[in-house]
Formats: sequence, structure tokens, C-alpha cells
Amino acid sequence: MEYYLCDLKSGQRARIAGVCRQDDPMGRRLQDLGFVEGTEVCCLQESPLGDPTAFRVRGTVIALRGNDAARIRVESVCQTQEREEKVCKNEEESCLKPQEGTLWELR
Amino acid sequence: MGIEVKAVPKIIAFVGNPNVGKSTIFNGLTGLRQHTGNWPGKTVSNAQGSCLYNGKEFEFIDLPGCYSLYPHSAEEEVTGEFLKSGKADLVMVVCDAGCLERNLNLLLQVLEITDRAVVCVNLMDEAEKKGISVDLNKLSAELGVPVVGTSASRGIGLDRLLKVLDEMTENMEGGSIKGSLGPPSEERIRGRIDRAEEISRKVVRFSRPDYDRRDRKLDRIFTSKLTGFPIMFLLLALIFWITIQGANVPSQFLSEKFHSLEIVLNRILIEKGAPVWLQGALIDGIYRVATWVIAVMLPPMAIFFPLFTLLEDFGYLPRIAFNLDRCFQRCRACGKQALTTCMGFGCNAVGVTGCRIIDSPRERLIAMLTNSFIPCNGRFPALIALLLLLFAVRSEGGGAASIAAVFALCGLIALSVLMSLLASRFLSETILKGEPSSFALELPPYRKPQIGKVIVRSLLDRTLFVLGRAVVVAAPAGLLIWIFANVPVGGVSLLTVFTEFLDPFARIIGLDGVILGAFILGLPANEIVLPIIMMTYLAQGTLIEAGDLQAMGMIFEANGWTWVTVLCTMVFYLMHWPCATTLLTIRRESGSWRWVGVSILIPAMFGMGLCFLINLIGTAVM
Repeated sequence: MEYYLCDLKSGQRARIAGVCRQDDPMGRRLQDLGFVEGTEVCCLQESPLGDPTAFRVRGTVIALRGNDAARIRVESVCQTQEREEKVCKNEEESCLKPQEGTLWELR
Repeated sequence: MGIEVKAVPKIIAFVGNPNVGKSTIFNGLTGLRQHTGNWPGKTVSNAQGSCLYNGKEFEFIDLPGCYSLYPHSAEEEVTGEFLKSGKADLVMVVCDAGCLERNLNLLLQVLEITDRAVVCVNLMDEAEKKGISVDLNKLSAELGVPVVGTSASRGIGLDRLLKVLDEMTENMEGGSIKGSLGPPSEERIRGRIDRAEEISRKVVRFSRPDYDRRDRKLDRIFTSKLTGFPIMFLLLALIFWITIQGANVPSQFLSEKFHSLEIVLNRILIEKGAPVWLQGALIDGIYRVATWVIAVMLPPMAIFFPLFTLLEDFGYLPRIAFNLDRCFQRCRACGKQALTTCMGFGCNAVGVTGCRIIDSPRERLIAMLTNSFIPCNGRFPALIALLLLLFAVRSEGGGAASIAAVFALCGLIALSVLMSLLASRFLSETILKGEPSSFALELPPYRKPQIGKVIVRSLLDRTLFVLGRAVVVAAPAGLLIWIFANVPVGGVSLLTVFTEFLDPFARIIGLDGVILGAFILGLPANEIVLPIIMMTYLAQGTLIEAGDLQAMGMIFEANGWTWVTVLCTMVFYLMHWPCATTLLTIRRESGSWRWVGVSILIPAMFGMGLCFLINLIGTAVM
């Protein structure tokens, strides 16, 4: 059973398995924004009228319409826990790593 | 004898993703020594400014925000071409510390073209609040170019930035930036993405996994099924209410001052023995109309635009587009048209220029041609006055009456937005057929707007705009109208001939010749329509003040106005033809007079059609 980005519900995360039609302008735009194979995306919420849907990808929130989200095949769909503190328990693949921050210096 | 050799200024190009604060840095470095213009041949704005540091002159070119150098849109094309052209000595890539990984894509592309680059990691303070830290030294080591951290909105880091730019230009050999990326290939694109991920992992630390919790909470409030739309309407209503209430007193004040000045000017002309007609043309024609425009336009614009810019800086506007995209999709238009619609509330010409944010040319045209359905600041005062008349509330603009009028105004505005959607649908089914284009909208993090700076910059900007408009458009129009009204043709003025000619047709759509004539003569600026109506009714050759609502009502009644007439006038005010400034802007943005013609026909057709219906039903009911 194939899942696409447009199938994700609010709060679900998945990994991108492939993007159809990468060569047209929208395909390139998606690539520039970071929607490539292996990237983790998280579905945040739908617009009140149902379309578009907001996704978090590589630290940025991008809203895509249903037909565009339907280009992107995903796998490993899972539900994020409500309390964000639990999110990073098994976070090897994710970009988020809870570590001590080093304070930046403004020289 | 010394020959003074003026050093050639170093040209530095600013490049970066949208929403990273590039303009804030640009403004911070150049202050007021900048100007905005257009790229020749393209309708993409550019900003150029200069700055003196350490005895040297630097010239900064603020290129439009883009996600990549591969051209998907006019903005990206401009950036790529500029970097290829050899005009820039150095490029500065601005990044957002809070989303460094995505910014790295463009940065890596730039570094493929040249190593004459400096990286500015901005919004460090915002990132720190979210517990995100960026190791600037490590980043510099990974990239091989200098990296400076800044918080441009607080003015932190700009000195250091200038120092680094200075050092770089000193140590560089001659020459400039001339490269371009090769054709896009799968491996190169993938390579950059992987490298960006690698660098980001080494350099960025998130101490809190839920770093954007506040943004997500705000998003849930602003875009949820329950609260999204109500908040949107309330916010817009609030902005209108503040604009209208706040503009009253300054408008009165300006009117009075201009009137006093007029008396003085009149006296001077009489003393100099100027002929009566010259006095009439100069004072009653040019001066009256120009000062009317300033007194009526400046206060609401000076309030609305800063408020709107604050909302924009805060980051709320993309959420509006997010909420409304479905409606626009149904009309085969772009969701970003919601934003240009909002801009149109301030000024239609600004809304039309704002359509540049829409990538697809077809959708951009649809947005431009339907923008004048949206009532601009210039139309609000007249609409309110007519609304108050309709409610038969004879007051001097007291608080309660204002609130009722504002709600009715919101209803009218909802009608105009609905009509603009219908017109968009109509256009996309007929002359601008096409498939809805793809659309990726970034929802940037919310930012605290710099209230003081925005207000000052907006005020200056708007004041100059209104004054410019008064001189260039209103003054000549005033002269023309005065001539119309005072040059006799067979015993009556040209104006009377004109209005009588229009009368039969006007009656069909619920107006009369005077009203329709006023709309036509009001082409230069919407705000003079009501004064022209009054002026003609009173058979005076001069423009008068409509200070007293009661008097205005009586004049209208005496000339045969019914509630149908008021309603039709209001509706026609919403949907007639764009004002002269907007028409010129449409010409510039679309590149042809044909579209200007369409932009006149579409709202006029809709307006006349609707008025005809209202008249039909209204007179049948009465």
C-alpha cells in the first residue's frame, strides 16, 4: 500500500521515499525546499477550509496543496507524541538532537 | 597640483532566502541612503544603497529573496543574472540562524560560483530564544569563508559585519563575480542537500526539541477551523476601525489649515491684481483639489499602512493566504492573491505592484485586474458618509454611529471581496484560461515587529506618496474640472452638457448623470467623486467642503436621491474603473495597454450589472 504526503494526518511524521516528476518547475521548487528522498517530514495542520496543509521539513514550515503533496511518496509513517519532550527518545535519524547548547558569541 | 581620484565604490550583492531579515540588514547599513527601483526590463524591485566605512564607499544591492539560483521565477532569474554579470565585487549571503539547513542550499550554490563571499547569520537573538545555537567558527571552517553573526533588528553585529566586508574587499585581488551554476543535475542537487545536512548537523545545536512550540500554538489559533476565520475578520475590522476613527481629527485639522492658507493666497492674488479667471483656475481648481486629496488621503494612509506593515512583519499575512487559498484555488487563482487583496485595501496601486509575489504570469494578471474591486483608503471616507446617510443617522460621526457604520462597511467589503473572487473565476474561465499553478507557501516564524522603525519608515513613505500624487494627478485634474465647470458652451457650462448627456443611461443603472459624470471625472483620484457631485448639484463652479453630513443629505434629497440611489452609488463606488494611478501601474506591470482596457471593463461591467439589478428590484419594491 503506497502512502503519499497528502495522506498524512495532523501530527504524523514520515520519511520521503520518492518524488514524482522532479523535472518540472514545481518539482524543482520542492527539491529546493528540501523535499527529497530520505528527508523526514511532519504534518502540522490543515487549513480551516481543508487545503493546503502545512508540513515541517528541515526546520521550515511549508504549506502545500493536495495535488502537489500527492506527488510525494512517503514511508515509515508514525504518530508524534503529544508532549514534545518525549519526541526525541529514538531520534537517531532526526535532525533534532537534545544536547547542551553552546552559546553563540557575537564578537 | 593634486589630482583627486575618486575611489570606485565596492559593490556588494545581498543574497538570501525570503524572510531572513535581509532588508533589515540592508536598511541598517544604508539608513536613508537608499532608493528602491525596478530592474530594467523586469518588474522586480531592487534596492540600492550606499554606506561610508573607514573612508571607503560601499554600494549595496539588495537582490530579491530566492530559494535557489536555478530560475523558477523572475526574482531568481534576476539574482542569477546579476551574479553572472560581473557587476558585483563581493556577495553577502544572509541566513536565518533558526533555519540554517534550508538556507545552506542557496549558500552552497553561491559558493560554487565564487569564493568572494561573506556569510551573515542573522536573527541570532530569535534563535537563542528558541534554544538554537550556531557555532559560527565551525561554520566558517566548513565553508571556507568568513561568517558573522548578527541581530539586525537590534542593531547588533552590523559594525563587525562592515569590518569583515572591509577586510575582505581590501584583501581581494581585482576582478568581480562572474560565474554561474551548470545545468541542474540530480547528483549535484542531491550533493548539495546532503552537504547542507552534514554542515547543519555539525554546526547547529537544538537544546530544545520543541523549539517552535510557540509558533505552532499561534498557528493553531490563527488557522484552526474554529478560530481562524473569526480572528481574521476581527483583526481586519479592527484595523479598519482604527484607520477610520484615527483619521477623523487629522483630516479636519488639515482641511482647516488648508482653508486658512487659501484665504491668504486669495488675498495675495487680489493684491497682485490677478484676473478673476486666473484666481479661479489656480485656487478653486488646482489648490482646492490638491489640498482636498491631501487632507482626505493622508491621515487614513498614514494609519493603515503602518498597521498593515506591522502585521506583515509579525508574520501573520502568510497565514491569511493559508486560510483563504482554497477559495482562490476554486477560482483558479493563486492563494497569494489574498495578500494582494489585503494590500489593495490600502491602495490599489500598491496592491497591483504587490502582485509580483505571484509567480505564474496568468495568475498574476488575474490578481492585478481584479484588485480594483477592493475599496482603497481613498474610498472609505465617501463610503462611510454614504452609509451614514443610508441609516438616516444624522450625527457628526459619534462613536456609536461609527461602530454601526464600520460593521456595515465590513459587509460592503465582504461583498467586494466576493465580487473580486467571482471576477477572478470569470477571467480564468474566459480570457485567462489555464490550470491552477503549483503553490508552495512558507509559513515563517513569528517575529516581534520593530514598531518604532516601521511607523517612521511607513509614515515617511506614505507622506511622500500622497504628496506626489496630489501634485502629479490631483492638481492637473482640478484644473481640468474647473475648466469644465466654468467654460460656458451655449449658456451652460461644459460640465452641465456632459452630465445631461450621461443622464439617460445613468438612470438605467440607478444613478443620475451628475453621479456618473462625477465618477468619470474622478478618474484621477477616487476621493474627489463626492465633492464633484456636490459641486454640480449646487451649480457652483467650485469644489466645496462636505463638512456637514446633514447638509449633504439635504442636497441629495433635493436632487431626487432615494435609498436606491444611495445604494447604487455605494455599489458603483466599489466596482467601477480603477483610478489613474492604478491604471498606470497596471500598464507598467503588465506591459500592455490591452490589459489596462480589460481592467477598466471588468469592474465597470460588474458594477453596472449589479446596479441595474438593484435599481430594478428597488424601484419595483418602492
